[in-house]
Amino acid sequence: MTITDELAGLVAPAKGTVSRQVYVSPEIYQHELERVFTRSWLFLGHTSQLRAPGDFLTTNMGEDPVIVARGKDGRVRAMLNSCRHRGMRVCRADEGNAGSFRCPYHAWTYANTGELTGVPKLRLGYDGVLDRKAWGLLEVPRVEEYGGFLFGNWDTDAMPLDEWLGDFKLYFDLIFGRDPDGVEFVGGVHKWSVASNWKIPTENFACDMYHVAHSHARTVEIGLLRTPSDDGYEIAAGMGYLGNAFAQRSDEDEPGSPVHPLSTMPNPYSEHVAAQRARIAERYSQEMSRIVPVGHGAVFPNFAFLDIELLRLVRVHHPEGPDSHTVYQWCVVDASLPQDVKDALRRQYTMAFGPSGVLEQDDGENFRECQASMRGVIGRRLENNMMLGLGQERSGADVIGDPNAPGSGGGIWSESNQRRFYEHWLEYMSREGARP
Amino acid sequence: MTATLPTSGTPSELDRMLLTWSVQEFYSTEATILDKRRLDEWLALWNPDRARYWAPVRRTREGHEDFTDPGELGLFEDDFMTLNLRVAAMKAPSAWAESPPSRTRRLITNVQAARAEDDTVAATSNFLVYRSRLESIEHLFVGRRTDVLEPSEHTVWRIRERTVLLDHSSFRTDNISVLF
Repeated sequence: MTITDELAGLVAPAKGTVSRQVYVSPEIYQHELERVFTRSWLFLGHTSQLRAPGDFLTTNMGEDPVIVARGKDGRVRAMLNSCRHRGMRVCRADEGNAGSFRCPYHAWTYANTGELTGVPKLRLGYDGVLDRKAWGLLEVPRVEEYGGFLFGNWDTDAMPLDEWLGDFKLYFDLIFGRDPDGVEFVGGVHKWSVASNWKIPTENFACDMYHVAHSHARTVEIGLLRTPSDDGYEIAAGMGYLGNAFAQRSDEDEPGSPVHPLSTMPNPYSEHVAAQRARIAERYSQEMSRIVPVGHGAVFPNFAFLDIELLRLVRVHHPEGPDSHTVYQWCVVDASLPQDVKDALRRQYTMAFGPSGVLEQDDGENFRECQASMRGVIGRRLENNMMLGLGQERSGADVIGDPNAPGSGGGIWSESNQRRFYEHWLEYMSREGARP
Repeated sequence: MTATLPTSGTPSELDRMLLTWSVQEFYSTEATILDKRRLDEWLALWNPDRARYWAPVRRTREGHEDFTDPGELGLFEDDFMTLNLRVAAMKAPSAWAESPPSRTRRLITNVQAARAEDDTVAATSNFLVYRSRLESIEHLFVGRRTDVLEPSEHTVWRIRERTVLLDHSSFRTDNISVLF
């Protein structure tokens, strides 16, 4: 009997409890890499980062390093960043443009499509018969895109990304598709590691409105934000989760004033958000427009975002052992905004939510210290409490007040999304057979 | 017996020595102010009208400079208003990231300074910021600063612009809750 035979006993979303073993056990962690990270749609990057043939970036899928490249044929592929000869990482840059990747070890060379094109001493050493087609970079079999967001999946039988997002697509559009030109990623990536399990920040983003008033109290103390009201929502739909305090109704907006009750400061983005919300009210309903900007959210397993009036970001929590993760975080802006508004949003993002941001700093401290206190042999025997709003779950339509709002959740003081996250987690962890 | 002072210095060498010495003194004082968290005093070392505090992100690329350009992401991209916000946030009662406060020690070395035509001084320095947190958490921040300093009545120099090149691409420090 091993710990992974008892998964269903460790995680009880219906009761609102989660064993601390899921954050600290090396065995569970290994199981996650096998069962969650090889079968889930994992965020790779955005098409605005890969505009020209040869553009590439490097990231991770679980602990596996991958190159995401637009090939000379114009197609975007993800490939394991590991030479097929001896395993050397063939690309050690974070990003760039390259026609090919030459392994630094023995100079095996791969086209930006993954094809093995160069093998030194092919004739003398391999009698010219090495099957180069069989020894290309291992390609991630599924790469699909939604609204420019690229996701990869090692599971050839995985449901399409479109189905994975499912009902969440409507909310995804409200976050990233409310500008007619979509969003673009500001150049540069913030990367930093926190000594905590990858699920701790994911739960936080997926979304923990409960922590905002206290964890981020200093933003209220210095006048940057207001304490959240009791009026808000938390919804899970498809494989996604989101939640926030409700914004004011669009018809109450005054030009130039913040549209969201969390915001205090004049912000050049406000008038644009107000206009976007007016269009959303027209297309969907007044009620639906109250959830823009939509606040925190995540897509299972480790993609997360934050959409507030001050800034918008997307991030990935790359797992790195049971007790560490590395954040890759990007600032995103609506593509059609004037440059001065984009500049202001970038500065506000850096000040508030980069690794030096006055909000993000406190989250890192919390995540690390949660992990530290759960690690001991006694600490790990306990269960964490996810009972906030238990029994108060409602349909998304009821929560938002629009019959077309999909999913289900609760009010702002709810952990229904975290409970949903652990339902998804248990489903994938319990399924036999690792991919690929 | 009294030591013999070097006598071979030309007037321009002596001027540069004095300049470097005064900038070094300024940096030592600034490091103490930050290590002791006297943050209002630190703000007073800045030109409030022209302050610019910029730290690009380092990244690994082939055949290119390895930091982000203005207009791309920075680790800091502040003017005097947002520096004040940062300081207010560090002094706030609920500044959990630094409560209880970290112990920091700033070592500022390799100082070089040169006068510019407009009465300002271009100064570069290397730094190592050690942070000890709670029982035994230890973080290091290492990098290089390029400053534009201007004469100041009260503090000899004050900072007009500072570019901080941290040598880390991915930080292993949980956060960046210190100033450089």
